[in-house]
Amino acid sequence: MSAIVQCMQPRIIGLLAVMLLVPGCASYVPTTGAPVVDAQGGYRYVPPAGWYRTAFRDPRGAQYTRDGQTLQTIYTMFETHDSAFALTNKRTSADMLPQEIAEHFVAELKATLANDTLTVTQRQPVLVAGRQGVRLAAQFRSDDGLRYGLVYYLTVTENGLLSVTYRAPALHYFDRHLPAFERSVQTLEWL
Amino acid sequence: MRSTKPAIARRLMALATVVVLGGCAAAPQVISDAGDIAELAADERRLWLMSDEIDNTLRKSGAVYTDQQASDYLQSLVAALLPEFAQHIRVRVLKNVEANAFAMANGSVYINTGMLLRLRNEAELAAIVSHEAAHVTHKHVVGNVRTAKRFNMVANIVGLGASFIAATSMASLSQAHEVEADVVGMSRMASAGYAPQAAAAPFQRLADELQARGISQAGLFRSHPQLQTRAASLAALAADLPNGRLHTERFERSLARVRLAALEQAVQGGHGDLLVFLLADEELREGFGSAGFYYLGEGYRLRDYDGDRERALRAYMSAVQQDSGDYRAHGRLGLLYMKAGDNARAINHFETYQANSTDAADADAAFVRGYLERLRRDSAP
Repeated sequence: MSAIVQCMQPRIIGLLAVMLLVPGCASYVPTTGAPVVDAQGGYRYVPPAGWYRTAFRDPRGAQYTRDGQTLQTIYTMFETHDSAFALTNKRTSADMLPQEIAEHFVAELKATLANDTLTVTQRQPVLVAGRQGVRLAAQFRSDDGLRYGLVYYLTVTENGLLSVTYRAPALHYFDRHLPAFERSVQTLEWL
Repeated sequence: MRSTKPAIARRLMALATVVVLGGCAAAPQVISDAGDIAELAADERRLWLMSDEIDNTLRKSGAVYTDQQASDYLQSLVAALLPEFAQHIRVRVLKNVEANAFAMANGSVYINTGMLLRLRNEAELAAIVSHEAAHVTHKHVVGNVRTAKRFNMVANIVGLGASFIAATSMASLSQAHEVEADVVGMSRMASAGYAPQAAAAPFQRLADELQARGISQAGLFRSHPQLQTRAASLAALAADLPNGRLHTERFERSLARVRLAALEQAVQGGHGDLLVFLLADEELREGFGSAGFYYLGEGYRLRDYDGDRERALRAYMSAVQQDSGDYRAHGRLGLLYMKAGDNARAINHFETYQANSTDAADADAAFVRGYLERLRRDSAP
């Protein structure tokens, strides 16, 4: 019984967080399994059903969560070639190899983090919606020592860089919702 | 660029003129150890405890580089420079390519991997360690906080860890403290048998680095002297002191892994121009063997100026000439030849990469497999 209670606690906390957030925040829109179309990026994507699309100020992308943004988040983002790696003053190009995309992406990521704890655990060539791309797995620690897991799917088109990101605390949440993320990546299609 | 500006601002500020130095001969205060912490003044006790918290935060965050050989070496350096404080001062390495070091009130001294990468010998390292240790032994941090308090700034300092680190780093210590730390540090170096003349060299090289990388000092030194001024003042300070040892070989051997890790951090951070600047210098590059050429190639490849692909190619070729089994250099050569459309050479280098790759977890292996499959398919009659 106590084990069940312990297992339930993070879930309950997560649900409470959503219950507190959702009613007071109309920008949390439940996902239904219907595709989300990004005309600018030229792709459609089906986020996991039963999650919420959250308010995301950057018009180049969208953000989804199930139990709250600090617990698990999926981002989709399409950035033009000249804006993808602004902090490192690099640009993407349509003929960039996946290996190079990964390299520049990691450099940009390191530039955005306040501490230098990002560790890339896997770089793997994959197809993203039929295009040559890369799957990156990484971890980082927040300033208070909390370990987060990250997975990125990256590919370039004629117009820019598409990234689909999953982020969750390594403890409990990361493995739990990773399959839903991986399934959602398979729904990516070009328009 | 982002990483270097604050580093310079932190690192280089003391105005060590001979006139000022003449008035800085105060005897060192003995720092308290943890057992005496209850006897400290309230503000110093708070600083001590906050420093301990920051130590824990840095450790938990994974930002501290752990390497027993390097750790033992750095502590042995403290023992040589400051034997009476050997139990109180702990030197640790932070994973950061910036050229920086800082001290905290509790005796913790942090040196970035990027600083260790830029140094050439043990005497230069001794200059950094003894300078930082002087901030601890002379209680500069608490002195600084008291000064800040007088200006009603203490809330900014104690509010956040990051601000606190900034406040305790070199950028925030007063010029008088910096001058005193230079004087005391150089005296410690000389007493331990190191060449005090080596203290100025890192600052001159840092000035050269800024110039080469197109970073203006003007914006960095609104209230601090230029790097050249710092180098000149340290050189003047050392002029009358006896020469001593550099211990280049021991420095390179003991910190080899840390300094290679710093080069890899520079690659992962995309700091191509930094790698090119540092490793175009033959003296520094030679200390790394074939890896020096490999990382120089990485620098050119990442920097990607006109002509850099050819320069990268030459650097990787030098790496495999020095060590024919340098599989990473072969992998990069394969990549460059593939992009240039020279499939035969690309296949040759990728195959050599595969034959020599000893790292089962090598992240590039899967990419190389894919490249080879495609190249062989394209090359088939």
